[in-house]
Amino acid sequence: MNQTLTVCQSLIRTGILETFRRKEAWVVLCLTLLLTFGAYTFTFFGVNGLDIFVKDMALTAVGLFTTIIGSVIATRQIPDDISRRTIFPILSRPISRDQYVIARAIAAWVMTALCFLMMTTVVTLLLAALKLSFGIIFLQYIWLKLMSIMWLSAIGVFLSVTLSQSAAFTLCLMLALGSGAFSRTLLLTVGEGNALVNWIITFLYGFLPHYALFDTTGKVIYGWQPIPGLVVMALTVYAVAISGFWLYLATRRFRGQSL
Amino acid sequence: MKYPALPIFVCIGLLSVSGVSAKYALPNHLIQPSSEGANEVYEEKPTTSIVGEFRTSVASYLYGKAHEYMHGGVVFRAATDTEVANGRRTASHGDSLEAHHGSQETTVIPEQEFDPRSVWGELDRGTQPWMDIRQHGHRDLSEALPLFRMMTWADPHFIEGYDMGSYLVFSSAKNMRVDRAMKFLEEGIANNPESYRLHKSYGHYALTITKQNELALKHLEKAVSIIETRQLAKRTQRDDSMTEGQQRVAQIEDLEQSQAWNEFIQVLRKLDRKEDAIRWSKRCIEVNAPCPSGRRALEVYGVKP
Repeated sequence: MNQTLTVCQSLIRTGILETFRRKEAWVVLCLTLLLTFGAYTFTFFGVNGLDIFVKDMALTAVGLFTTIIGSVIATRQIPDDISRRTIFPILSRPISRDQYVIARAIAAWVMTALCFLMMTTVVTLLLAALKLSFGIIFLQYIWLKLMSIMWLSAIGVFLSVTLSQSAAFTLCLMLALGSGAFSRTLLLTVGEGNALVNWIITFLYGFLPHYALFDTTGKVIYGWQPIPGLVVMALTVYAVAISGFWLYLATRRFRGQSL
Repeated sequence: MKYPALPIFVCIGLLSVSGVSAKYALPNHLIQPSSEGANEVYEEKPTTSIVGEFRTSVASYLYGKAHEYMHGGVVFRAATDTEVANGRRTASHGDSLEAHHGSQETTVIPEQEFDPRSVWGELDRGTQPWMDIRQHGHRDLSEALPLFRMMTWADPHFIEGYDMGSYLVFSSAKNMRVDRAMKFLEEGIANNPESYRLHKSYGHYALTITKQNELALKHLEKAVSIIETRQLAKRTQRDDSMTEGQQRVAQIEDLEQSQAWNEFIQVLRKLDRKEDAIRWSKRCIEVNAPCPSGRRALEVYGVKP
């Protein structure tokens, strides 16, 4: 365990340097600021009372760019190491392939979480400058986002050891961004079917990616009451469990993979 | 670099192409139609479909957002016939804002007794905006109103934006401002002079709220004349081959047209224009079978339908 953590620390450090060297974090940060401020500029033309619209744009941008950068980071971790052949010196240390995969997933999680927190901080400061603020529920939003990033990193790493890098990125992004649409569509068909069809659909529903469940943007921007603690706890348990499941599959797959 | 001036020439070339394209596109763009009968121009003018689609999409997006804002982020959808038959809850209102969506709407996230997902359903309702759609209330509409301003800027031919926006300005508990609602409609009419819905709404406010009967007559007469000229075309379109969604749209149009006819006859009666009231009542019954105002007018004047 300690060994895995040591490897993690090292990979996280290099990963963060790589992310900032590639300027990905700065690009998404600039885009987020542009979108938020762009929404606010409508007030210059005499349209007042756009508080919710500006908040909506800000958190939508943060959520979207977090998903994009999270998918990029998670799906490039292992393929980059393989293509640059840096994987050989890493694996020549006394660490197993399982430890390497887990360390890479944790590194991806931490890097994406840092980008997310950076964007959230800057957007919150910008909104505060515009005299807009969020309620207590915002803290739950941040926590659940971090949980969803854990899921995203785990599934991203699994896909990257299963598919080519570009295919893994595309699929990861589709599963994350489309998760709400998949669930809603399936749910719509439940109302139309008989009991057996409903049971099958509900069973299948459990296997769908539920990334959208962690997104509480709607409740935050409209100032809803905080989410019940039990719901947050259940989602945290689900995030840990599903991330563990994807990482288990990733390690199984990577064990026998030729480099 | 072999040709250092090349980027400048490329930029100038691109600017010229943009200018010519804009000049070519703009006239067509300006005649981008209202949502009433939009398809013809989209089919006939390729530039309109390219440039106009963007504006229409922005306006439609903002319209959907405004709907969400009114309900605190809760997303609605039309209930299917099976759901209605199974007793799924559909929209009803706990306040005075009644005409902003159809009564056959339900929430995208179902209520507990219609949700087979058990734990997943609870998590969904816990993290996403959700409410019991029965007797539901609305947020402060002043938050949604700026979006109607923006959507009609984005697309001045977005009739739904003017129609619903003026209704919300008027209906909002804090901003019961018929003068602002009518001003907004005036702008809509100036941009869409052939929209019977906007004339009908303007006439409705003039007739029922500000009691300006002559003004109401002018707009309701215009609304009815537009309906009269379009009636034949619309009738031929409404046949059994229409989808459920198309039939619903047709029903809403029928209702809007019926309201225009009824209020037109009412204002004629208020202004004591007996001959006109009888003539238009007969016409209303002929084209619009129920026509309660027309039947009432004929009954009062002692004329057989």
